[in-house]
Amino acid sequence: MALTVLDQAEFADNPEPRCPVVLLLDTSGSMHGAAIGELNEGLRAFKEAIQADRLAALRVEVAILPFGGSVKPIDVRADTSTAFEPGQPFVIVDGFDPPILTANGDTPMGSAVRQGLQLLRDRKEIYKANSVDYFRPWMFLITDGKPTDEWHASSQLLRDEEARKGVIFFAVGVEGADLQILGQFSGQRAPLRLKGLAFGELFQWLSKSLSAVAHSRPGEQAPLPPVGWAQVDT
Amino acid sequence: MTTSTLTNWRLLGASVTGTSHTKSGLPCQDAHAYCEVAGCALIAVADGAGSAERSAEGAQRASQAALAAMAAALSGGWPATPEPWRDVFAAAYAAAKSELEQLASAAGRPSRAFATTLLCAGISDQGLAVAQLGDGVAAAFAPTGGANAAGDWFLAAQPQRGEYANETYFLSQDDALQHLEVAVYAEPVRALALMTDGLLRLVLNGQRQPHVPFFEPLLAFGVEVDDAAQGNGQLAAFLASERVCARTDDDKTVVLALRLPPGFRA
Repeated sequence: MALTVLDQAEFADNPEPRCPVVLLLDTSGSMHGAAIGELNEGLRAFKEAIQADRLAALRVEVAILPFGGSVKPIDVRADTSTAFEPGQPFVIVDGFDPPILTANGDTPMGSAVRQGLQLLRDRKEIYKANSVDYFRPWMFLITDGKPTDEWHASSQLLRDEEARKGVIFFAVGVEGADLQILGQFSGQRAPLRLKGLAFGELFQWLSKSLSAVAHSRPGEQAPLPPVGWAQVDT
Repeated sequence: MTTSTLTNWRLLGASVTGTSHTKSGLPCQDAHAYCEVAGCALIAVADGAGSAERSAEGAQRASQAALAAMAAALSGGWPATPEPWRDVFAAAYAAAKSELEQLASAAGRPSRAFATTLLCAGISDQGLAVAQLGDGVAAAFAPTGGANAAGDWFLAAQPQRGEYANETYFLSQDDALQHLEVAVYAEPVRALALMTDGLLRLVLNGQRQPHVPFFEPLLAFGVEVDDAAQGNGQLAAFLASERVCARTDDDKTVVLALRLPPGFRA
């Protein structure tokens, strides 16, 4: 078609809407060995899978909150030329450097859930202050045990946030996890038990799910892919 | 050759399927309709909901029904005061909603299978009236005669969003008409562009105002067009271009209305 003056139309440069996800990862002593190794591999697979989807790579933002002995967000930025701000640990997948986690200590799950909720709340304020659109955040918890800290208040905070539609929460129990306690953290969804150490499959599923959300338009309930990585309890 | 008609407005429009839809074999779920009645340009633009399986039809039928209702209401010319506009639009949207319900009933499906947003506008020498339900965008050009080009374009309708990026209102929902927003402007608007949200991040700047480096060439294009059918083809080609598709994979619609010089005959 012949050139028209439309070729001179310039586009505005706006940030993509964001899909924030906080990963609460159990790095207590019992995860030592094969479990933490597979978990680390899973995080690498997660990045690769999302990066294959260019739109999702620019929209999905990750923060990682390992809990083992202590709980605090870690720096997972590929670009560390500026100082890390623990209050703002989110990074888009395109700029995410998968960490190598090590296992040690007990299981402060209650504190992890509380901090995770705070991180998401703060992130939403940053979005609003900068006119960045966002999708409903995800909080994804993986554990092989049960909380060793006070957790009842945290689980109530989480259930309240879910009821307000402020967060989508998934809990995954690895062999040894106390699913009965884990089940009390959510009012919407039962926890799932991971098949063996199928972290690779789990993170592939997570990346597909988040990509579906990142692409979703008004009026779409993005259907989640089938959960092949979970054990069905008989 | 048929006798030419005295025409006040050049109207151009195109709706193009987004790359995400072509990939998954979905049709274009955007639709638009426009006409000129009693010297006024009337426009309706609709964006069918992504996963609603008949939303392409919903968007088409809703935009046509709303346009027909507006055309009937404006047959006597532009209202002398702003008051009638709320009723004009309420009736047009009710007609469009009822159209979806009839479609649903005939197909044995729920109305939400035909879910669509709907953005409507009427424009004349006396002013501009806009009605919004959903996340479309309307940018209007009112020359102030000053040196500041940015001051001439303003946002006449902005997207209605819930907290999350994938939330807005649809005509099919029960309380749809309660969310209808109507605005009437007395400025002598000389050009108007209505768009669906596929172009949202390309055409609004960081302050959520019209991005002038996009709208000025669009306006210049409209002025240069001789033949409306050819102009529509060029507009569609632009929306389908690599440059646009690199920035958005959604369906895209632009309808442009420009005031023609007095005495212009089509």
